[in-house]
Amino acid sequence: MAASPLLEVEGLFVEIDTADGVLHAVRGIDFSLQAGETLCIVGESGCGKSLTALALMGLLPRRAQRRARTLCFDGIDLLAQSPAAMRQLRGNRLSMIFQEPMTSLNPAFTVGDQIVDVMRQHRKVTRAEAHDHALHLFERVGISAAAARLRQYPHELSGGLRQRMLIAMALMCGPRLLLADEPTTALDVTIQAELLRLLADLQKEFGMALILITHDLGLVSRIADRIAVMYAGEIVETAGVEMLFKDPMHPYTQGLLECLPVPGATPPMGRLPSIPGIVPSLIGGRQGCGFSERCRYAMPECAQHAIALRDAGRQHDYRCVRPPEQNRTRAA
Amino acid sequence: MSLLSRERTDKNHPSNLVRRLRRSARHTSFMLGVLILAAIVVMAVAAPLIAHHDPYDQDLANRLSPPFWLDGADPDHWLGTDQLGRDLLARLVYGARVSLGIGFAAMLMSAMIGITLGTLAGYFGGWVDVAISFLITARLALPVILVALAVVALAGASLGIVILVLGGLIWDRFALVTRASVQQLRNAEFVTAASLQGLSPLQILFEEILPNIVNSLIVIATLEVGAAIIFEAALSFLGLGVPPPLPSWGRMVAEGGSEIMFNSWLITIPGAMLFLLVLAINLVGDGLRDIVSPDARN
Amino acid sequence: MGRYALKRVVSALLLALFVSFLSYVLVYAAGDPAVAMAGESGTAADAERMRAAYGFDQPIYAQYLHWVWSALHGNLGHSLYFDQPVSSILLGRLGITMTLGLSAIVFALVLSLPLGIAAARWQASAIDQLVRAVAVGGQAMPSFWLALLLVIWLSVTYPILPTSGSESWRHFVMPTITLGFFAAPALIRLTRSGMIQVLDADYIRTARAMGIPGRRVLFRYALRNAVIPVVSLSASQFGYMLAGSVVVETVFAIHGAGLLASESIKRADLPTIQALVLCFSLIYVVLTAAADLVNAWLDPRMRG
Repeated sequence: MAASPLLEVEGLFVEIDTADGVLHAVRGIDFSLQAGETLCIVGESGCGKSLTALALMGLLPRRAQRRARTLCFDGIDLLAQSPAAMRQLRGNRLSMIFQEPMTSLNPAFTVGDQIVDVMRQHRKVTRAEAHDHALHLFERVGISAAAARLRQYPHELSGGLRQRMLIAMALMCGPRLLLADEPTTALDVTIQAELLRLLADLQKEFGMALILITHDLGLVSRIADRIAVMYAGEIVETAGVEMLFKDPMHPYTQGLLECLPVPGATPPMGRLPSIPGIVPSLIGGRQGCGFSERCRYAMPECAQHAIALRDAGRQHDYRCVRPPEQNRTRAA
Repeated sequence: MSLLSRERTDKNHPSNLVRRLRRSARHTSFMLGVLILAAIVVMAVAAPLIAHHDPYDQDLANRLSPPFWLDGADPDHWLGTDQLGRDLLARLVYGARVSLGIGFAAMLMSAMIGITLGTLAGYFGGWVDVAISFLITARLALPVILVALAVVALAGASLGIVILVLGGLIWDRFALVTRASVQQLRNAEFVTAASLQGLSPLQILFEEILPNIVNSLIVIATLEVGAAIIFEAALSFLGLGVPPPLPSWGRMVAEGGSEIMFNSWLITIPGAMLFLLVLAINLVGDGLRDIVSPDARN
Repeated sequence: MGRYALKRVVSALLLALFVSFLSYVLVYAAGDPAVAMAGESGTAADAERMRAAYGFDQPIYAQYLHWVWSALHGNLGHSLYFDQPVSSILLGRLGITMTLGLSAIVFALVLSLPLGIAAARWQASAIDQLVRAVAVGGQAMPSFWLALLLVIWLSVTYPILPTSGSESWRHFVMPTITLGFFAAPALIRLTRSGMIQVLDADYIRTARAMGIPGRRVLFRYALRNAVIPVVSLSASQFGYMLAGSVVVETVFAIHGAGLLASESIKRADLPTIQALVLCFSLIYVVLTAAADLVNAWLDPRMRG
């Protein structure tokens, strides 16, 4: 019997007011997360995954609005929280790190000042105590010469180093959930793997849940417990990591996996397959499936009405008109 | 791994631009500025039709007649008369010609100087740039009002001298903007392509680079007209601007100074005209800046 | 940081020298100073005497170098009108103008910073519109008109403040407001645009994501970054205000350096004029250099 989830999201919508009309960036998504679990939300740019995370944190930009049936974190109804209450949660029980480490630290203050400030915001500690805790965390995230580093300014440090510091900052108060929005995309490939491993280690050590947002399906396999695939504002498939790679049900997921070059299997000089067509506009309403224009199995009814979730067994859902037997491409 | 996705909302599509303009509150202030400016220009051009008196005519019997909203007003002099009995409305309306004329002429001259200097500095870089930048900074350090006063005092006040002095001192913004833009564009790909095609530097400047900076220069030009007008008014106020009896709003304010106790309209009305004119010009300039580069609004 | 400071100081001095040379040349380009100093009633013989006495018959660069040399020794020439060394007159008057300028820039900052921050914080709201209107209006207002309006309002209609003179602090209220409004619009705009830009930055998003409260984000995290360009602008605005003091001191009959300048010009008291131009530009140059140094202290990135 599954324990009650740490995070429960039902019917989340995010709408943005633009000069050309209302942009429906997130269109009624559902997902949940258990304590200590790692969920990866995968999708291309513009699919709404970052806005989902921002909606959870209550950090949506001015023109954007969220609404949801349920938005429950650790027993707290996030929809009902005042701005002050949300501030108390952020950086404390619910943390987030972002994609651009080069610009995410304040250039006018030392790294130490900024990190210590975060802890003193949420805990009654002295500067010295917060400083010691920061030192401790710096070492945990793999930053050497921590004491000297804390006295440095951000512009004196590399991108990888800054991202580690931001991770440390996010962990200062021991959050129960960490949202990581493409944390390694702006960094070198060599550092990417290191940082992801670091996140996985820290997660086990701190016993926290992790939502990792990325566009890179290949990165995900090592670190995820479950994966949610997003397309044009909707979650089109959710499954355990092994199930998703072995038995993808949704045509978009199948397309993504086909695009991944596999060392040893993909012929060296051949062309990589790609999914034909382009992403539909997010402005205005939509009839039916957003992927139908590009789908190899498309039928007239795909574009007529909203598509319900289908159960493919063993906690594997996907949003398609066709039943599992028809979509299965690999032997189960 | 990346999949194709293209923005369906093209920001620079004409219909989107227009829609953005309409929604911007700045649009209202821009139109307001255009309206006021147009009104004043019309007033200046149609001066003989609007004013029923000659601005130089003194009528000492009718000195200090108040404007129509005060007691004792003379219906023949709608806005009253000054200490020498000259009709205020006439002086106001012909004064618009002086302000607009000097403002525009000084702007043109400063544009020529500033754009030339800025282009040389931006295009050739190196020592030329160092020298011209030093010159620009020196100009910024100069107390311009003092220098202008001194030159006019020594050379004798006349319309031409005032325009020369103004134009010769307010070119700094033109120079700075031109220099920065030319510097930026000099390294652009289309310029490299043009030089590879064999175009001479002069051709490149006129055919490739300058057309791209015309927009921002128009914005600067508009704002500089306003700056020149205020500068001239200040010089005239201090007695070293346009020589009498030419009607200058600045000098009218100065002349009205002695009447501050009982006939203060002689001060407030010409000053208000200055304020309105420069305000209108600034609103137009700001609005143009929004149209030209909406991201630069902030 | 030391090397940067040295570079700035040296270029500042060079600039001041160049500016004083420029003004020398400009004066000569304008007209014959000997004739001007001889006055309207002077004869050609008088002008010749002036020329010989003041060395105007020598080439310009020689005169200029002679002047610079004396200036370095504290001798700024001899005023024709006061019949005293210029330096003794200058110091007192300059002090008054600097006092006025200082109170005006403080007034301008006290007005502009909160308005700019408020406009940025509540962007596109009624407050923002109002602040922008104040900035646009202030920029269009001729300072001499504002000065006289204030006199009409606060001295004639409601006799609260004295009309002219510089005896008490009350005499400085209206001049301060006038000069302050001269500098404020640019400061308001810069503060507003700087804050808007900063508030949009990623590091502010980080601060918010870590639960830092809004007021702290605004006044500590954001302001520290947004204020950097404002420091530079304040310095150059102060410099402009010194020049603009000519008008304000004339209206309010304050015996500062500005009034001295316009009077000296009308009296063709060339040595005084030269000294004043040098002083004003020197002050501007020193202030902007100082502002750069303060910026280097505020922004750690600039020290490298």
